[in-house]
Amino acid sequence: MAHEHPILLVEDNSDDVFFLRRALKTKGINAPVEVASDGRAAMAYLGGSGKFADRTKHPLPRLVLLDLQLPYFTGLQVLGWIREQAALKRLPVVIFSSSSQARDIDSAYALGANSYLVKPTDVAELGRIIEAIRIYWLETNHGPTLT
Amino acid sequence: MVRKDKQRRDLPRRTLVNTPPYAPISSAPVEDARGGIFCVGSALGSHTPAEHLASLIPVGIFACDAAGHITFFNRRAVELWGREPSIGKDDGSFCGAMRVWRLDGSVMGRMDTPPMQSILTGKRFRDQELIIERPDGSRLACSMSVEPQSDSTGAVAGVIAVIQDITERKRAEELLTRQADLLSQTHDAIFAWQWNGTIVFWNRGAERLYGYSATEALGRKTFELLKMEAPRDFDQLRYRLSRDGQCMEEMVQLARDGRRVTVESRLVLSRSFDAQPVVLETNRDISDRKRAEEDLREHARTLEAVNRDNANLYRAVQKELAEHKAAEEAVRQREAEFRLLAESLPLMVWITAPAGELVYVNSRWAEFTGCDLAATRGSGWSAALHPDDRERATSAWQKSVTEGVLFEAEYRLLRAADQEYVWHIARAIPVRDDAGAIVKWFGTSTDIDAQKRAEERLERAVKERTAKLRETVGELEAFSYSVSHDLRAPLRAMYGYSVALMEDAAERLSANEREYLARISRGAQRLDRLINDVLTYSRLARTDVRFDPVDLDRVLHEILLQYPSLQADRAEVRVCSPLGKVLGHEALVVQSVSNLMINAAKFVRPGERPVVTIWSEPRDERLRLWVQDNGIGISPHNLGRIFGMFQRLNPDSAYEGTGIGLSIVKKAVERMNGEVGVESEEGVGSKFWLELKRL
Repeated sequence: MAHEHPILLVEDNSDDVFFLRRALKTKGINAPVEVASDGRAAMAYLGGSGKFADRTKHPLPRLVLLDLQLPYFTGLQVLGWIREQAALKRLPVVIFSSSSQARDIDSAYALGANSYLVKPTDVAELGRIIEAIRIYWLETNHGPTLT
Repeated sequence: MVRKDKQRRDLPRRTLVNTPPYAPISSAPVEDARGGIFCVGSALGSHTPAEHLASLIPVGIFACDAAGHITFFNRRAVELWGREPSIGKDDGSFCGAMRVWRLDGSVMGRMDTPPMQSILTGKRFRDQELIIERPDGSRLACSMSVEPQSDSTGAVAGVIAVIQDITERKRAEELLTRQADLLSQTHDAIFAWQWNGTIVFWNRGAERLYGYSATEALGRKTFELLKMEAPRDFDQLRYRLSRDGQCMEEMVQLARDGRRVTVESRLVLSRSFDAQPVVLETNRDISDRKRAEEDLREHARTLEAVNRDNANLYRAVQKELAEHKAAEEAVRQREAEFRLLAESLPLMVWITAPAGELVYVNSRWAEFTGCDLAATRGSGWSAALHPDDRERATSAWQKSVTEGVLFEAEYRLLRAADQEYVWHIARAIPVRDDAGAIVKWFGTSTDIDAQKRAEERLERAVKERTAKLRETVGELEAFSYSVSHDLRAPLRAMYGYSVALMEDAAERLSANEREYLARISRGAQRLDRLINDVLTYSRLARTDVRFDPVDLDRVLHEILLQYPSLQADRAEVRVCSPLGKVLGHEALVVQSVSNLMINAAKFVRPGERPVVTIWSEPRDERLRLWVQDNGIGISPHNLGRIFGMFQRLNPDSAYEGTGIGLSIVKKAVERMNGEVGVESEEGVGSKFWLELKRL
């Protein structure tokens, strides 16, 4: 059975992963969630290398939530790499970072981010954002063809 | 009836007088054959010694009985009366006289006359002055003394009166008074003093001149009272007076008020009635004249000084002329001095012809470059310059020579001794003749190597430090970024887990446990805000402030959209548009205004709906934006620290906050060269304001 296109969380902070997962579940998002806990792992998953070679088991995500502060490769490096890959350049990538600095925001858009969201401090606010993601990216937006 | 004097003088011995005690006179006086004999009844015909005496006395004597009838009189009395009274009977006379007047000119009644008064009252009279009118109408001023005579029972039996002619005395007195009046009226100061100086007379003029009244002056010593300054020798003055009887003197005296008075004095020595010497001093104030004289003398002295100055000037000019003759010699001397100076100066000195060819270099140039004048002329001075500076220096020199303007250039010169290049600054000025044509260039080159190298070092140091500073700023930014990320992540986790736990296990937890969880989340949230505010504040200090027009109405609009606490369901916000435009950094303006508004909406009494009013007003060059609330207000003693860092005026439990909000406002506004302030009344509300440059 072909796996459903998951949502890929690129997030090194296990707490954030916990809250994201919890919020996704609370807000009724039933899509599978894959987690890459650093830049290298993200690139491995998206490139289909190593243990992620099997695309049926590890299909391309329909949405990437990308943190910027990551070990090995930063989120911006991962984003730049994604846009250089022929197979990934149309992949919807939403930056999900604690930084609200203009420099980061501008860099992210320059490198081809589809959206930039700032991680909220408030759990309720996180729920609101996740709900917005569901409504917009998962239910409203028409995504590109993923191969 | 008047007797002829000749006859009377012949009859002195026949004049009778009563001998006391008074005996009543029984017979009338009888005129004898030689005429003019006055007699008294009982003594008629006999010449007693008393009668002789009475006829000799040069005063009139008469006696009256108790009825006022004359009982006795002597020859002198007849002379005075101008008539002879009847003895012992009323002959209609007033005690012998035809009529009697008082001195004031009124008629004296018979009963008022001293003898009648004495008979009536028993009083005695001494020197009573009255006027007797004779039968021929002439009048005499007389003085009358009356002595009452008593009988054995003590009653007044009669009087004896003495009558004296005082007409001469009166006249003399009147004259004196008139003279004294005259003296007093004169403008000159007139006074008289006895030989020892005691003042005995002092007229009005003296009162005016010296300021002492007559009462004050009389009895004082003239030289003491007037503190005579000149002449000093009083005895000398008296000697001259006694020798010459009079003298004239210029005197300097002091008036009562300290005023110095110069008088022209006339002194006359005379004798008083008692033969004592008296000096009459008549003084005319000549102080004004003296002052005028002194002014004249001063003027003369000034003139003299001017003349002296002119003489000096003349001598100075003479001297100058003499010096001028020496000037040519001095020019030659100066030339030599110049060379000596030029050679001894620690800098290079050179002179060129108008077109720029060297005509003189000092020995320092030769020592430094190793080229003397001849060698420098041969190779050209620019040969000693650093190759990099040569082009620049020579073209600058050419430009100066062509245009005749000041030459200035910095270049490195090769030092012959160690072949090192040393920085110099060269300056040259054109020297012109009277017609303005350049006759030569006078130049110097000064060693500025030390300064130049110091400048270079400084520049290098500035560059290095700037780079280091940039690095530090970069590090700081990285630090604050990592603070915001690394510190806030665990806080968010704490908060998130406590919320998750509350959501998942609330029904299994006791009220206490739920309260603990709530406290954990509140603590985390608070710390998060604190970090956020500290970062904002520290970022303010580093932000490059750009000044652009900022539309306050748009800023308000954005803020109202953004902040939940300012929404209509939680607060009433009244904006008095248009607010206008200011010059500032938009992000900082938004930050400041939003902080003030959130503050305004926050500090209300529990349960009260916040009302925030915003308006603006121009103040000189600036625009003041007011943010008013209906909150709890600030007590006066807290107003001063309200904008300080971490200043929280209320307990944590009452109002959430970090105590940085207003510090951020102050910092942000100050970075935009503005000002913030507050007016507040406790319990009524606060009015915060910020001022920025108006557009």
